[in-house]
Amino acid sequence: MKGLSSWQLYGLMLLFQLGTNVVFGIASPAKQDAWITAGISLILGMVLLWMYSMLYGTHANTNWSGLLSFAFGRYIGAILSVGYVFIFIYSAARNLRDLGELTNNFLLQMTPMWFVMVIFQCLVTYVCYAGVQRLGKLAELNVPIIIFLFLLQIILLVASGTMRLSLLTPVAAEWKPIFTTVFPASLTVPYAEVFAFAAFWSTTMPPKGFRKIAILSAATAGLMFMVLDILAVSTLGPEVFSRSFFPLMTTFQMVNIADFIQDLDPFIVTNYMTSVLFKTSIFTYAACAMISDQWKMNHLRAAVIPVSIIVCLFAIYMADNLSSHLFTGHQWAVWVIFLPFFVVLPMLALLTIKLKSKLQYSPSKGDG
Amino acid sequence: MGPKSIRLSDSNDLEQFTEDLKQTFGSMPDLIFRSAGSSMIVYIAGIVDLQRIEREIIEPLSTQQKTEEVTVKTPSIEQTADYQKTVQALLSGMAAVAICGEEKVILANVAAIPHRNVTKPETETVVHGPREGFVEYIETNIALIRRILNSEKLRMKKWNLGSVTQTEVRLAYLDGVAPNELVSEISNRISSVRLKGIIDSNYLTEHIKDRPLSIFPTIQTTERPDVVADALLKGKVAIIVNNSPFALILPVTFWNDFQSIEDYYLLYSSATFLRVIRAIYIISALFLPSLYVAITTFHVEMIPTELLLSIAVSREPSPFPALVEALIMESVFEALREAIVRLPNMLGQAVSVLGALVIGQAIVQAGIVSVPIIIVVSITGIASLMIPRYEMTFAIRILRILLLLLAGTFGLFGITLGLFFTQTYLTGISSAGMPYMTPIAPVSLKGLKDFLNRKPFERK
Repeated sequence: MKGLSSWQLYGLMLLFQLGTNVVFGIASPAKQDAWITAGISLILGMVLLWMYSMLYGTHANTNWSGLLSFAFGRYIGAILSVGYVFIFIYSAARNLRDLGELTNNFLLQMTPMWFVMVIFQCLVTYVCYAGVQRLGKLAELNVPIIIFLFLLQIILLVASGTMRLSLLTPVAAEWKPIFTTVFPASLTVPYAEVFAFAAFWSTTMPPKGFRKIAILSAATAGLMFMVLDILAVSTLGPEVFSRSFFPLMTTFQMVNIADFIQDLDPFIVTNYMTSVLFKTSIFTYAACAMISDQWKMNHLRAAVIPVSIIVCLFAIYMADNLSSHLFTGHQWAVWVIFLPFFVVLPMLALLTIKLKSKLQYSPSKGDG
Repeated sequence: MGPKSIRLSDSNDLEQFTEDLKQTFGSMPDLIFRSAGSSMIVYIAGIVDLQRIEREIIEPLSTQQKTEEVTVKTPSIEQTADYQKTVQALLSGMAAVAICGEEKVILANVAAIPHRNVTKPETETVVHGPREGFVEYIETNIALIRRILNSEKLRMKKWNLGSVTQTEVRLAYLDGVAPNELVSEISNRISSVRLKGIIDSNYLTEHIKDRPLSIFPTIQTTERPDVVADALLKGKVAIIVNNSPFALILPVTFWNDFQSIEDYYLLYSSATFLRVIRAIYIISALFLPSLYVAITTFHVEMIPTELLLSIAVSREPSPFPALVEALIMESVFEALREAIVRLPNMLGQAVSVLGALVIGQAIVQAGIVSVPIIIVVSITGIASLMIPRYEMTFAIRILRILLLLLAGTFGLFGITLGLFFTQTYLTGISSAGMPYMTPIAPVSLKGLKDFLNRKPFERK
């Protein structure tokens, strides 16, 4: 029995994967076929998660920084670990920035964005300080609320009568945009990002349970994305859907019941804050876990505050405006960061570790 | 302070013993010495039953022959040669009988300590169900519990705490039902209490709480014996303190504070209905003022146009921003609440007239605050009175003010932020080792059966 119960890990992973996609939508470049894209990337994502859990299964008591040195030797492992610390910090900062942009757009137009982000990062710091066990409990508290709100949003949208399912046709007229969207964008965000759990997975659950939960939570999140995509496209039409910054946000602005319930965006943003809190906290926590593993600290708490400060600075200075922020995310970060570090390197590590264990009985010293 | 042990071989020793006692008690006027035959009786007037002393001690002693074994007729007696114990016994209402030629005194329990009769509980009222509340006298309280829990499994541990007051404290639990670790953990915590005096059970609360400075009550206080019995049956432990009509129960969860014992005295459907209503209003007790402030200040577009117009019209004469209005009304309401608790009974009418007239009408007519905020604060006030546990109302009220301030500065963003800080904090506290948010975090399916719904009693 390790630190988290399966329901806690499930909640944590579900909220993590929902993340920013609750507002940004998934696979919007694929237009009316976004839901097919979401489905395909879900299947690929589950394969990816399976691979992660196999990696975890090779050394059930070791976190990612330990696995790195197993696979690539002490020195290269250490260098890569430091790299990962920055990757996690950068990812946390991206999510924080997303939140800042959204809050600035929809909730607090007059409050400076850096201030919103600093305050939110204070909350993240507190959550990370509390540790992964309490993070799990926090997820348990919030998953029912998020699922309830999700259902409520669907009911309200359907009841408003703005949906036209005919907008979903033609179905899969062109396969090219579907696949270019699946790979790499929709695969890496959110499924490949689950790799952040690798930084502290030995404190969560044993590999078998971890695998089951990861795949289950991915399935839930993927289905939710498909439903959201279908709703958004049939409400907005494929063109608006693919061009909007916040397609799902725009969708729920269409909610109007008897001229009484309307303009729900503050509530959507609030809903979104929940999942972003988990995403940012887990990335921040992952960075701290990497640091404390690499330098054999007794407790990762000491790393939380410095890491949080760096996350804040990254988030504030990473982009000039929303467009450049989104551009970096969609075009640059995917290829330079998410794909190599969350997909390629783990695969390499898995291969090396498997090969090494095959060669274990024919000792060849110096290959480690 | 006096000798260690008592020697009473001849009349000189008896004289010495009397002198020692007078010395120890500082020639207290209510320390009474009476001699009967060759023996002497000591007691403190006021806390003993004089008629019983006459009938059970003095009468038999004065009619006794020298050769006979000395006997007193009191049912509860003990013998001791320990001087300090004798002093304590005198203080707790016993009479000490010192007989010349014996090496010890007889302590006869003839206590008649004044105390109140059992009355209705004042703070936890129910429509259906038992109507007895605890009193300040520990023996009565324990008798009330024993009457409900008619079982030899009901066990008690006893302490005398407070270096001056020597207050009797008892830990009650059902053997085999309450986990042993819980009992020993709480025993340890009680044993480590170092206080001069314990006047009320709350003195203990702050010492044995898991987090002494938390604003959330992780120990339940109750003045109902049926609540204690119910808790003991569920495997909890209860602490009963002499001089206090409030027993302590632990462990307790956050959600327990929103359940009333009456839920079990009503049909399961009625109880579930009540719990849902209570939950809705308690949530509004926490959020309503801050939501109102956040939405009218920052997110006006969320309000339907017609409603927005009517709110705008009624807010028009008021010069203050919504946050200030809300703070004014909240503070006035809290002041009224406190005043009503403190005021002498005969002034009640005056305060309610003032409250209703001045705060209800004049403040609006004068254009100081607007009508909607009065509605909001009134609903909140009523809602916060629905919380079954008095202790919990404070946590909710403090949080409400904090959320109000956050809502006034950051709108819904602030409310969400405050909510998450609270949630994170709550996941970290526990009551006697049990996580405070059980059965939601960590989830327990067994606990969820009796959560917002009151499950029907099991039938066999």
